[in-house]
Amino acid sequence: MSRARTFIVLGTLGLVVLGSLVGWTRYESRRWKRDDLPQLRALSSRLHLSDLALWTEARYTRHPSQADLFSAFQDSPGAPEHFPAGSIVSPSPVLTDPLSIVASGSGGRLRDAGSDGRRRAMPEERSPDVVAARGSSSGWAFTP
Amino acid sequence: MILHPGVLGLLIGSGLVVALMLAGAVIGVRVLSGWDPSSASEHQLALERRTYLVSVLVSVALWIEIGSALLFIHTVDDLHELFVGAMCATGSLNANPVGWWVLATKAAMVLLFPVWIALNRLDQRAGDYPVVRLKYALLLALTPIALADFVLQLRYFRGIEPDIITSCCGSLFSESSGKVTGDVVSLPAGLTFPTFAATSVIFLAALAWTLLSRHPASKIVVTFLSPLVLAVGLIAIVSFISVAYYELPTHHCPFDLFQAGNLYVGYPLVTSLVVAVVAAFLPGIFLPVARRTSLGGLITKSERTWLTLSIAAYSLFIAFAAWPLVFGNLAWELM
Amino acid sequence: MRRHLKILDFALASLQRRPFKNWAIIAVYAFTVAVVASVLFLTQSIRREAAQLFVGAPELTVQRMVGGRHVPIDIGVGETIAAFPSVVGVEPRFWGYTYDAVTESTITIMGAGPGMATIDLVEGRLPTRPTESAIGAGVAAMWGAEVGGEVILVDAATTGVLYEVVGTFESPSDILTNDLVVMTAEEAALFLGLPEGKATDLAVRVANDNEIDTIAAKVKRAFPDSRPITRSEVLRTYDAVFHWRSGMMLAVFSGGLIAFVILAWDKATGLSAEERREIGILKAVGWDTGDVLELKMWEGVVISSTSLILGLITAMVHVFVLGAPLLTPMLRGWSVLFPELHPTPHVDPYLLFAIGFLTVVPYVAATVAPSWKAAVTDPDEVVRG
Repeated sequence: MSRARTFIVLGTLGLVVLGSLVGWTRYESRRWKRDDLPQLRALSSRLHLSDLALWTEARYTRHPSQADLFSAFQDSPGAPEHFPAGSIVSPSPVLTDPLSIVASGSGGRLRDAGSDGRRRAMPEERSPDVVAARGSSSGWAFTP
Repeated sequence: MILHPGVLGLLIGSGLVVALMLAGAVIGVRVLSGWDPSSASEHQLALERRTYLVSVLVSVALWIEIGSALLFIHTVDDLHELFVGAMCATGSLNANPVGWWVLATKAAMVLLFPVWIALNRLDQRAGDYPVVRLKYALLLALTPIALADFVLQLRYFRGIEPDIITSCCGSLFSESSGKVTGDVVSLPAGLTFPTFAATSVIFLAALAWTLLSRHPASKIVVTFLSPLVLAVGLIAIVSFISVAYYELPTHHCPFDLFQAGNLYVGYPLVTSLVVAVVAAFLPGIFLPVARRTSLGGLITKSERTWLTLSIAAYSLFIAFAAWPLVFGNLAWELM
Repeated sequence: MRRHLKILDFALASLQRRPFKNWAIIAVYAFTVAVVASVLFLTQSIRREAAQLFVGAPELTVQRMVGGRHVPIDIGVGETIAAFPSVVGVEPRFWGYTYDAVTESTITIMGAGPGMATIDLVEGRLPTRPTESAIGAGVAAMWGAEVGGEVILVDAATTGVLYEVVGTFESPSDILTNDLVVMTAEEAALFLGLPEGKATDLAVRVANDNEIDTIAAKVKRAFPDSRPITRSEVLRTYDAVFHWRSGMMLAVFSGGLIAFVILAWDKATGLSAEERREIGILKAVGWDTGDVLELKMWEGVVISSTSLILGLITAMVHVFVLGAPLLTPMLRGWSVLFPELHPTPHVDPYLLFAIGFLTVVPYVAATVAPSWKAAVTDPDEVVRG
């Protein structure tokens, strides 16, 4: 029976250590909430800070909440994502949500034909051949 | 949505339960097809050994399932933060209504598994495997539930998209919602409280009577009472126990009881109710098999444990239920 | 009760007879738990910090989009927005980046609008004159600058500009301010090369939280080329970022978890001749299959609980005491100015339960069948063996 008792005592000891660690984290997080949080909130409110200063390598990783959907690719069209943090920071779910009022770049159905008479189509109305026709550009603007 | 740690844990857990149950069912069918208790052949011996494997597989599945049910409640409670308009588990479940079915399958498994475990224990202790066919029939019935649980849970977690504006418990558990839950809530506490009190007294009396007299009729009464007690207990939680805990007459949502703000009181509350009900359910259903000579003595012995357990668990439930009514501030306005 | 204790006692003795094998399993098991727990502790605590912090962020920021890119917005737009009902005020934000070629780091420039110059968490004060700046701890450490010193930054016209450091941000705010250089709003606009009358974006204060979405929709309608970002979107962005990341790390790590399960399975299956003899003798002296199964269960309980407790303690010390040194490289990517992490300790009992579920359940499931196999060992066959 001695072994069983030793094990139970040691196990209880381990649980006590674990429990006190959990208790310590509770205490620390409460202390942070009481002492640091109001100051941090005041700071973020005073300087209008909206992002964590974690990933400084690119615009869309330094300010993920202010970045747009394809910011990773806008350094040049078709450029692949090349920062390692890009594999860690996912795009905001807000951007991929079709219901979000702010995500859609076109402003939804709010716009009708403009004063210039151009037809403004909803993105889904645009047929593929129109897009293809537009894409056939000819040559460079400036040549030596 | 799948990459939430709790969700990952739940999916792994359910997947393993399905694997264990399927393995158990396959072995079960093979055991049953060649089962011949009168034979002393090597084949029969191997089959008898296999029954041990099935019982281990299913007991492990039971424990995983119990953990999984608790984890599910907490995960769904935790996920509400991702949904606009959700304040507790109700909101997360409404975000994809399949979630309610997952809750139902988990409840079914937590209620039915212990019956199987009790049956299995008796069967193995008896020596001549008297209820082996019944046992495997029940196992084959449990396996599809485990499978449904896994599939529905996967569909639930795949289907919930953050940002869906969900209706929170305010609309589901408020008094004019026109759903069943709404009807439950609109039952006045003046009606549900006496019903609950009466049911509790009758239930405890029946348990005590069974424990003392061991009359077969009393066992049947207790077994038939137990589902009723479960229903009344759950109605009581929604109707006035939760309200008394929140001290807010209009707030009926039972899931908030599982949150830190209420000291997680929902867990002991529901667990004690389930234990009491399951333990009380057992004596009656073993009546048909108790006539077998090899089982009679064992059942009598186990019954004492079950009944005592049920009384203890139910008293605990009453204590948790009565605590806010006695010491809270809202009790008297309710009545 | 006594019977169970006896079997536990026997299980411990049997584990002790094979110390190397069992400690090896415990080590791998505890390591697995520690990795899973470290990832979850770290990401959950930063996620929680972000969620609490950005309650102070602007209710709404309004950007202008041209060609799908974020471009400077007319400050005049702010006047129109300020006239919307329940908007308390609009303040243009002037912010951007500058690259320091010497240290190869990107620094974030932030303009401080009018307001109190001395606030908590700033040693010294915020800049009030164009030649002054307040800098984050990371920037200060990189250049060895302190209050009273000077920093040189390269502006939009590639001219080095000298700023007097009048304040540094104190360490509790590292996670917000590590790479910041704060200057007055006018100076920031000049430094970043913003045209006259333009701002990077607009911060909008809304009195009633329930109206933020309505105001955002109004802004979108009045200025179709604008992109309003609400505070709840900021919060949900960070929520998703950290859920995603912890999930990614766990997904990467799932290979390790599977390897561990295979190891457990293998160790449990490959009974040595000695172990088989042991079980054979137990059965010969009258243990039945159920007893041997209980013995195996206790062995599992001993190994799992030891590993779980050790692993969780290791993870807590690693993340909350040491600041997660082993995970930081994974988080940091190519950031030069990565803040030292001091995650605010916070552990949910739920998280502990989820970690247990992620690690113990696969272990138990992997050892079920081997335990049974051992338990049904035929004494006759083994002892003669």
